[in-house]
Amino acid sequence: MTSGLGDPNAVAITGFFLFIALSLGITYFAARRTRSAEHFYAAGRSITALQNGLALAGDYMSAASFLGIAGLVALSGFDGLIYSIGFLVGWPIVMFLIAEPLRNLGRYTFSDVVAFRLRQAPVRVAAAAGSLAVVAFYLIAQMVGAGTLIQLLFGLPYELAVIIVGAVMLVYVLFGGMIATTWVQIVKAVLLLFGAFLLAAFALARFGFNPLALFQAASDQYGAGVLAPGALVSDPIEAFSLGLALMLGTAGLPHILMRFYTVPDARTARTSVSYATAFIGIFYLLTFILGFGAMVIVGQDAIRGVDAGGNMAALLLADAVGGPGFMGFISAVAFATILAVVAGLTLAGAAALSHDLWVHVIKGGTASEKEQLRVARISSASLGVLAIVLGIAFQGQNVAYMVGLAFAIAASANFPALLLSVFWRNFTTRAAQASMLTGTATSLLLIYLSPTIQVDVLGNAAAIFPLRNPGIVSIPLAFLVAVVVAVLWPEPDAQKGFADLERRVHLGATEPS
Amino acid sequence: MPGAPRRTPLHRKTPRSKSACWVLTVTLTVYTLAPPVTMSFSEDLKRLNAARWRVAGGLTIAMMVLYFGFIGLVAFNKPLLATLLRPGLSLGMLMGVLVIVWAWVLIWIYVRWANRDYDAGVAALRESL
Repeated sequence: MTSGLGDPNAVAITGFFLFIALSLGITYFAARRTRSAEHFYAAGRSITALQNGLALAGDYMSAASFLGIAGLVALSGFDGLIYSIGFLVGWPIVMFLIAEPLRNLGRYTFSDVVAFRLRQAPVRVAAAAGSLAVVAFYLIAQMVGAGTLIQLLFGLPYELAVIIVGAVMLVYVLFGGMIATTWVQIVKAVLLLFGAFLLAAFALARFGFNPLALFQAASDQYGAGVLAPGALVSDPIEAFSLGLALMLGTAGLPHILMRFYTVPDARTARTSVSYATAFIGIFYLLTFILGFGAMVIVGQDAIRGVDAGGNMAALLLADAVGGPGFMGFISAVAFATILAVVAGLTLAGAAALSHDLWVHVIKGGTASEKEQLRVARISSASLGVLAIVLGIAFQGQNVAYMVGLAFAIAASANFPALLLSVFWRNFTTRAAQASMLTGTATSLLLIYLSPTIQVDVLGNAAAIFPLRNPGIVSIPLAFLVAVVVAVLWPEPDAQKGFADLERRVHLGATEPS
Repeated sequence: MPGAPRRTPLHRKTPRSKSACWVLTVTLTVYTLAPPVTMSFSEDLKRLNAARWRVAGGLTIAMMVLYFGFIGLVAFNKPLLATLLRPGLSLGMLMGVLVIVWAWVLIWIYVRWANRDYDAGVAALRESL
């Protein structure tokens, strides 16, 4: 099978430029409205439930989901679906335990919630460390995806592609802040859902719109094994470790949590999660069709021939069922996806640096609006440069897998402390610090000691730590450390503050006290 | 809204939420007395708090049971998931779709409860301030 990959595709290029023009237009209007820190970080709390639902879905449906999972399903069948399902089940957890308390307790970052009744500086340093670790891993995955995609599509040098993505994204964040980032995300989410839906419909049309006929064809061609769990998750403990990290990681992703501050109140936050879960669920159900569709219509050998990781499966499918024009459209959508997610990540990282570290740790909680905005923009610019450097340094890494690690760090570093700070009266500053630092350090260390780094990257014969995903060790450990430290060193002031926290969890900040 | 009837759906106890309450109490939640603004305010807040975490905890557990049941089968009983229910449809794939649908159902239950009962409780609490 021949494909247009590597040749400049007129539709793709037009699509790229249309999206960039549209998003810069959005940024222009957003920039005129971005006058305070509240605009920059939280879009002036003016986002509606449906808008935020789409933006959350946009942040979540990254290139790793769209390209990575479609490729994973195309190459390994059912095993790829384990990722699709795991990525979705985090949302009910966000809804039941996190979204509304977060909105009622905080202002810009999830550290606001953890630090609510604890001592500000120590908690915020630890929370910023966790946030930045997650953002860095996530950024690497997106930048590597962007570079590879553009290189494959246009034959543009990888480094140049990464620099272009970094530069355009920085324009959104620097000038338009959260308002521009949210609207870019909304446009992208609509495009992505529409594109995935169209692609799945084209693929299914060849099977009389009967998904079972498609799955049957896959099983006829590649054996019944593609419809059942196989080699990808061979070790039972590994399966649980991955499952745990995917489920709890969502509730610890700083760029997702930050979106709950862009809506006016807790009820809107609640409604937005139900929209987001509906969109994301539909999208992941579509990945079943896209993955198996690529497996049958394009063929596994052809997919591997273009990219060993299978990342181009969805694009090859688009080429096969809709021709180069349709592939160009899907490519432009994938490009938009990466740009938008990178912008969201950079903004979340900038909030950790400027709101948590600069304003609350260095300046002791008081800084003028002007200063906050300036520091936030400097942080964004530095993170943008860092993203470009990381993207170039980590060329060739597996995209979906890097996102899996970001989830493991988020679930270990951020989730336990966030949950305990809202639920547990006896939680303390030291416990929060210990839990977040243990979670971050353990997950990073175990990733370094895992077969992925030791065997695949460094070429050693065996790895010290047997699991590829550290979640099953690092998440319980972060909880355990928190409980032990809190019991050994109680903090009476933090207990006193719990009554106020409990009231605000339900009533929000607006109530007269 | 002066004179609006005070709704008390938060007092309902269902078997599901009762067991969830127990688990949550044992593991994480220590729900406590609110600040003594008025006797009725602190009692109401306490009840609202307990109800909210009973429902949230119960639904969280319901999600985890099905999801980790699914992961458990992936880990320990691959042949069962490979069972073909009809041509092209394995039990594993059906279960995968069910997990996603289950997430939707639980979220729908939560939003329904929160929009009706919880928000009414919050409104009543605000009024009594």
